[in-house]
Amino acid sequence: MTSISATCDRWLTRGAVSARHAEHVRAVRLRRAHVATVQLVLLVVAFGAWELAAATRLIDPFIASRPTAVARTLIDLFGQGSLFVHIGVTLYAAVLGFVLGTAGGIAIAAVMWWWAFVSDVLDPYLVVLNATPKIALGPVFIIWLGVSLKAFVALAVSITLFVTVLNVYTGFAGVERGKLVVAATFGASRWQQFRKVVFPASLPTLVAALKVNVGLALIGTIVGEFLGAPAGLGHLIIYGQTIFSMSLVMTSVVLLTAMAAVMYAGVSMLERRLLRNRQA
Amino acid sequence: MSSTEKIRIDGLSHTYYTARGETAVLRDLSLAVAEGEFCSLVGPSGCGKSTLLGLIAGLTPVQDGRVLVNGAPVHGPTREIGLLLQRDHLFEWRTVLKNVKLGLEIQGQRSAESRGRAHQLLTTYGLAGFEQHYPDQLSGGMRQRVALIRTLATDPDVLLLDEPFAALDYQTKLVLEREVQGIIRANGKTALLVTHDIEEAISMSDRVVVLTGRPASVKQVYDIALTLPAERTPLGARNAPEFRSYCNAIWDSLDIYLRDV
Repeated sequence: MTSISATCDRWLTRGAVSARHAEHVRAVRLRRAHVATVQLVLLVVAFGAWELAAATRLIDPFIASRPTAVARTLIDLFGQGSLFVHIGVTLYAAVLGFVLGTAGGIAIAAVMWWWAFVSDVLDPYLVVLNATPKIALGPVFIIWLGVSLKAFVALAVSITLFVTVLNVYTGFAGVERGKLVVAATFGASRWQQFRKVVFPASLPTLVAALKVNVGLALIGTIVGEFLGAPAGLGHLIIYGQTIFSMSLVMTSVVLLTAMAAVMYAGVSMLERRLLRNRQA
Repeated sequence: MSSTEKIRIDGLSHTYYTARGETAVLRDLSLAVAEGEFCSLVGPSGCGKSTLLGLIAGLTPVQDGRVLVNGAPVHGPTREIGLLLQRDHLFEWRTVLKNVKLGLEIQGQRSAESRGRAHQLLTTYGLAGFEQHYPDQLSGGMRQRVALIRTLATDPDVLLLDEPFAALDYQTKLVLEREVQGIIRANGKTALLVTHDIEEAISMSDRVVVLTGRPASVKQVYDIALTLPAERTPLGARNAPEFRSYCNAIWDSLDIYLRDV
């Protein structure tokens, strides 16, 4: 017993340079472990409660499904070989929409920073377009581009683009004037001002835009798929609704959540790389 | 005298225009600063001192009058002029060394000599070993020193100092005043310092120029002659017998009353 706890303690205090430092790192690591444990417990409790409620008929599993049914559906889909097709189709459209919408939004924001005239002209349109529910454009894209990847991506782009432009432009325009003055006294060109001051200074804003866009791109893709896609998680949800298989619907939702988590983790990794040396 | 004139300002007037109207900030201002001279500008708050520096630095286009640096009219920023501001405006995403090299990068100076100068300056001014630190790891005084080295790294002849010590605590301020003055005198650079601090102006300068309120023009010029030991430092200057009377004279000349503040 003591040897196990001693081993644990050695692991918790690894890398410590003094007894006081060991105390400090132990506290920090224990806290981190506690947070992770409670997070895991919450997840297990939520799914456990769901299963229990269904087993005791507190809720009707026909309407609410249950975790074991979701697991069975997952195995079935995997067995049919269609699981990764549906995931792949949706992920591809969402990532494409995310990348195009974000990159396009940043490019437009850069143009607006470069030419204040463009920014003044576009401002009211952007605000109104951003407030317009882009979902309403879904049928338009389907008619123009067919029930295809193009239409789903277009919808994802339309949802991410305007909010990116607005937020990123606000970031670009909000860069401390003094920093630009410093660059200007050295004779910086407009391009140098952008590359050496405005863009790096706005990286935290850009990362925030990326985080928001993960969710928005998924919304666009799923809604697009609702409108008649032959495959994908959006298609599965609508199909599940049609045949009244709540397990299929819930399974798709769980998969979507997992997909969002993975994309978000990717953005977080990028954030750590980009903002490594800054204080929050 | 005119051959060693570094900065010449003739009949300079400047007005800001907004939708609501116009504000004249400078009117018929004339001033000359000789090579190697340390000249200070004092004046009531908001009298247009920073505008004047912006015009000399080429950041603001000249409207009326002339601004000459080394005998040539100023059109935009040049390598001959360096500007040091009240706030250091260090880039938080760059290390100390990369902050110092900003001007060299922008001006495309990639020679071993200019890079060597950046390292040399960091060592000389007590920042050796901090090259790879980030600005948020430095104290206020160190940050302002990095900003100063960033300005000096491109080797300008003329330094425009826009209240660079105003945001520092008193001790740091005295130490940095001494350092900056030392650097400027040792390298034969010309300096124009804008300040609210009359003692700072007298202790650092060869000449103090008092400006009128807005629109600013030159009200009075004081040549500072202090009885000092061989080496002149800002702290030593404060102990010179003439120091107090300069303070009083300049204070009177500023003519600031409660209604103005």
